[in-house]
Amino acid sequence: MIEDGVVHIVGGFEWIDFIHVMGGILAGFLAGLIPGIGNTIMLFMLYPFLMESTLFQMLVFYLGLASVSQFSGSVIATVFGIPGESSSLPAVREGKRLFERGQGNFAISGAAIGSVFGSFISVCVIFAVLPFVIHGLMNFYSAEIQFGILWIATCSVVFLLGKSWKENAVVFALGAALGLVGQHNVPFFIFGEGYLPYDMFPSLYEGLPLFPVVVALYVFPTLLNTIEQFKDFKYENDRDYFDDSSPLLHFKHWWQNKWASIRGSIFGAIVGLVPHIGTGIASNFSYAVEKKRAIKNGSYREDGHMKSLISAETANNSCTLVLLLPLMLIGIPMSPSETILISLIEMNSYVINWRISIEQNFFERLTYWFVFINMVAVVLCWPAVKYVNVLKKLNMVHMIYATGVILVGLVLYTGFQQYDMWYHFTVMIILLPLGYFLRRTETLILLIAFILQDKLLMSSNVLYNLHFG
Amino acid sequence: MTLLQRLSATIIALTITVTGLTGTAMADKKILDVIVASSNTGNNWKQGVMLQKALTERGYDSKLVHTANCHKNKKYIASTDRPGFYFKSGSSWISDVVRKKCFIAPEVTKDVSYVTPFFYRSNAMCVRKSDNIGSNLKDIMAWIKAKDRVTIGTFNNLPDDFSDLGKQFGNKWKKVAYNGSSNTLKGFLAGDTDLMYLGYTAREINTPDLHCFATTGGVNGTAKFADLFPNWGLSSLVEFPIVFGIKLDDAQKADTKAVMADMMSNDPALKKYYGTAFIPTAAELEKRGLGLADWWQDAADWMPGGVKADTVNNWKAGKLQ
Repeated sequence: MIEDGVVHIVGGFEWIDFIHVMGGILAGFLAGLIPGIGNTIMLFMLYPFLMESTLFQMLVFYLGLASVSQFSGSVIATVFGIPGESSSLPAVREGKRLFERGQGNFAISGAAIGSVFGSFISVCVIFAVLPFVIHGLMNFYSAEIQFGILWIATCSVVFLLGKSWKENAVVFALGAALGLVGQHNVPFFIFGEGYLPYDMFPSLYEGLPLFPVVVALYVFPTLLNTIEQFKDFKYENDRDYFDDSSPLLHFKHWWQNKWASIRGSIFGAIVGLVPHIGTGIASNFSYAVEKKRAIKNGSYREDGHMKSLISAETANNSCTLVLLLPLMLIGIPMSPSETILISLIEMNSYVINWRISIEQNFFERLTYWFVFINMVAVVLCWPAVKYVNVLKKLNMVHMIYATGVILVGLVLYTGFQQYDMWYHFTVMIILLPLGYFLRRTETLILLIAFILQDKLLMSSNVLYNLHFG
Repeated sequence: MTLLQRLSATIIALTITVTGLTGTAMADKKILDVIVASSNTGNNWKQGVMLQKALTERGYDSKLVHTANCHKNKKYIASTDRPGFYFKSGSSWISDVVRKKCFIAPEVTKDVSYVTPFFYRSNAMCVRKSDNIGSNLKDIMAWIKAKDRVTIGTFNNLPDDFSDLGKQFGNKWKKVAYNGSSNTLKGFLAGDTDLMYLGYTAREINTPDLHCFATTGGVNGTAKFADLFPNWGLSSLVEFPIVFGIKLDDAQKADTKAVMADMMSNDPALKKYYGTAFIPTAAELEKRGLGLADWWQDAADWMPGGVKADTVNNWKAGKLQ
């Protein structure tokens, strides 16, 4: 398999693919390092650079971004105790304690080497399950299966995210209602011809544009929360990251915890498939299992437990590739950033489904790049970690403001590209107060509902007409 | 002059030369963009890609522009100076008017003009081979008649008019509408509905599990809808797009008409696409005498519930009502 991979990368090598991979790696490195940005916002910010990209280039860029952000996210979680995403929580707990007792360098290398190991395991899982999945794919398009997958995805975000499922359900309904603006085949009170300014903005008949909605109702509340988080933030320790150990010593440290990596990889590849929250669940579940094992056999250390950390970090990388499986085969996104990815793919006039993925050999090509991405992350990003102390000198709040300004520019730019700049800008301005009002809620749910509502509506309509209509 | 200054001067001179040469080369080329004013998941997009490629191969400066929907298309037309064309069928035009309150009438302003009929494609009714009904028409009709309730998968801008068939077969027919032809086909192949009603394209002909037994025009050895379902209101529906020119003068219109005929007859990909599905193309439709008046009639046929003659006259004059 490795030989095939080398032959593929050398034989089918294209510079433009390589540039996308390296761009994705760099973007992922930054997405993980800058708190509050994450994969979803970073992908969104870089869309202008992907407007001319092919479907495969967008996928490989995303793979680089999603894989490497896990790695760099765990670095700031370990060194500064700042959680990037929910999957970084084990790194905040264990990594920070390990860092405080001078083991931070081994915590970071363990997570990085574990991630590469996890990538190999997920490649094996993909190759093992793909033939069976393809065999049963024709049935995936049946109305019942489509309906089932979409509603499992919906219920998982409503019931498993945030503080209250009731609040989530309201936010979801709001997102779906916004997604239904301009749709003719919905009840008149949602279509709202009497009170929405369809005459002034006839483009409303085509629905609300994605970019302004995402910026106003997802990015804006996220940035507000991040600013609040950093308003009174002080670095708890003055210890700088330092590492003078040889790579061999790092590898030996990881080898001592190889079984934790294996367990984490397997959990990641399986549990990670829970829609939209898979990475967080995979990471926290692996962490919980490993910690429980350690407590049971008396090896758990309150001042930082390496095995638990490595298992969690391996798990979240292991599920990155597996998570792409449903997207590439049936076009259903399994994570928030994939939801944005599929919208960008559609904006670039591409369609993704199993026929295209298999005909163009996407899986094989992506798996080789995936292993390459993880190896580059270790070889290039790991040495770059020593510069992480520079982050202490940056004003995070200013960076968040800069991100906001870039995104407003992006709304204008994408609006201009679609011959409707002021309409896009107006939609964003009108929705900003709602974004402010929703800042304490999980607006990710709103975003998912906004993007998936047409698929949900169609599958529900089809199912109703098939059996009851 | 320092080395750095000399180097800068050389780079500037080279840039000006290259830009000038490129500009001259581009200026010599005729501009004709292909605009796709519908989704990027179906047959329109596929044809747009092939047309743009064929135009480029014929020496045109041609871009593929995806305006996606009627409102954006209107804005694009207002904002561009580049000559181009898009194609629109009566079904799609009616869908824009009814669902999106968007209306672009040809020949009302100089911006949008009629160029040529594009193609004339039958619709088809199909069963799954894996249902083992057999390919004999009598067996298929008997199978349909034996059902109490017949579900038929189709795209969502079709008039809801299958009750005539219910009367013919003495059972209940239920339309199951999907977003677009691609989803309809996938759902049907997965076993959602009993029958499928869709455009008859190469995709429908080449899908192994599909047997299309009847079409509007009775093409490719299929039965003709009008013969099989004589009282069905939708038996004469076809997909009949015409080419709308954008910012074209008379000479450009004539040139576009000629190049369309040439591409559809001689470009290997386009020839195969239309040939496989027995679709008569622009030149042949011109010979048959089909034109804008027939397109307006086709659009009226797609209107749910039908339209009055006055309404069509208003449309032709550029008025929505």
